[in-house]
Amino acid sequence: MNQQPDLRNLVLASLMAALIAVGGYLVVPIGPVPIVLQNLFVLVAALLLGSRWASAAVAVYLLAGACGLPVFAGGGGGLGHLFGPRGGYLFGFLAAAWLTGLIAERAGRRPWLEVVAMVAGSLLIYALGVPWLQWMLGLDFGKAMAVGMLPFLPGDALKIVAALLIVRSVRPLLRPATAPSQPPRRSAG
Amino acid sequence: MAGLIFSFQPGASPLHRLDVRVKLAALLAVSLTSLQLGHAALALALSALLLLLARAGWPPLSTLVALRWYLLLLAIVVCSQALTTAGEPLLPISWLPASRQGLEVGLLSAGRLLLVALAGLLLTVTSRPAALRAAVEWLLRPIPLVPHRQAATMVGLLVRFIPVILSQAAELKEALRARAIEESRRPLRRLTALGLPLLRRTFLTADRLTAAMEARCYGAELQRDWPSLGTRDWAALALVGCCCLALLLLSLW
Repeated sequence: MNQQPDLRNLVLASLMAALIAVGGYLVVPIGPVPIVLQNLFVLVAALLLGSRWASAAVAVYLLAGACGLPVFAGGGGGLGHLFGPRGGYLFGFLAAAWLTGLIAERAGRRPWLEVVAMVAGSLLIYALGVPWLQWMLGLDFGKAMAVGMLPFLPGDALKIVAALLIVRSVRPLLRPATAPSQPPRRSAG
Repeated sequence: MAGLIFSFQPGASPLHRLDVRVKLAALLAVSLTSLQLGHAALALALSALLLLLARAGWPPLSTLVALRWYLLLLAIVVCSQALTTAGEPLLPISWLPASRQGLEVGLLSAGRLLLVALAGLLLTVTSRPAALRAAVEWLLRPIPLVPHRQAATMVGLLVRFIPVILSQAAELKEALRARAIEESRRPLRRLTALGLPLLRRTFLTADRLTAAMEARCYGAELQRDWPSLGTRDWAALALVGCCCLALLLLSLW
């Protein structure tokens, strides 16, 4: 079956946006800081869909949140969140999806380049999120880093490994024209 | 419980019967108003929303249970504001620099966020995803350079996908439990046992959905005709407007 590539990407981008929202609702209680899986799915979206559709996925997620739908972390929503103290991270997701996607498109599925892409994307999230947090709460730079970046770094390393595993597992399903009647193919990893 | 938070609950309350455009406009109005509200007005608005949710079939207690992680996040907001704002000390403990002013500011911002979250919950609980999609499209139409049809379709799919993902996760967990596979707390084990199969399943669902949309000729220009708003809708809009105005006046005063 030949599916319209645009429609397919549109559905997949919506799915990734939904996964980003679900990732914000599932809180993994490891270590001192609860880990939220939103940025994991931002990275996965970027690797699977490329920069254009991954940014579309994040943009739709932000739009849904801005309309007030309960999609932000823990089931929140509304403009107050988007322009609140953590808003920088949300806009950072958009930039990260674009940048990671851009590098990943040129990586030709080489794992180390994909890791570089994800590290760059994760750092970009903090590059927008931490100064925003610092400005909104009136903290000094060191304190903002201690509150808004350093506790999350070990979790981010785990997330990058997880994203690589996920992308390995899911990518074979995304080859064009997978007929719905075919059984899912097994992949390594 | 997580599944309930995003999904439409059928019902016949006055809120269910309102035009979705009115509800979306009301949500935006509440969202903007919330930024200016003071303590008394916030408390009033929060209790009003909890009552409305109860009217729509959601008792206040289960609403708060469904939002428990969000409440935890709000608690973190309150604590960080209380600890970082300078002012009159709250407790006579020297190493705990909590200030009364900080606590007030923190409670205010947490209350504002909670208000919008409750209003959003009210919208998703009482509106069909299809109607919501159409309303988002209607809202985006005047904005240039935004592919409003695609964006609205994607928002509609997003809203629909969330309960699908959560119910598939629940099914998978039951399947694992039926095979006596213990739920592990180790993150990598969780990922391989639950995460990967779940993601593969959701992607296959997306594939089937694409085929179904194509079979139903999605992409052909569809235009939804909106019926004009009824008296009830205008009355509701006016009521929301008056309430927002009254709350703003109360906060200023």
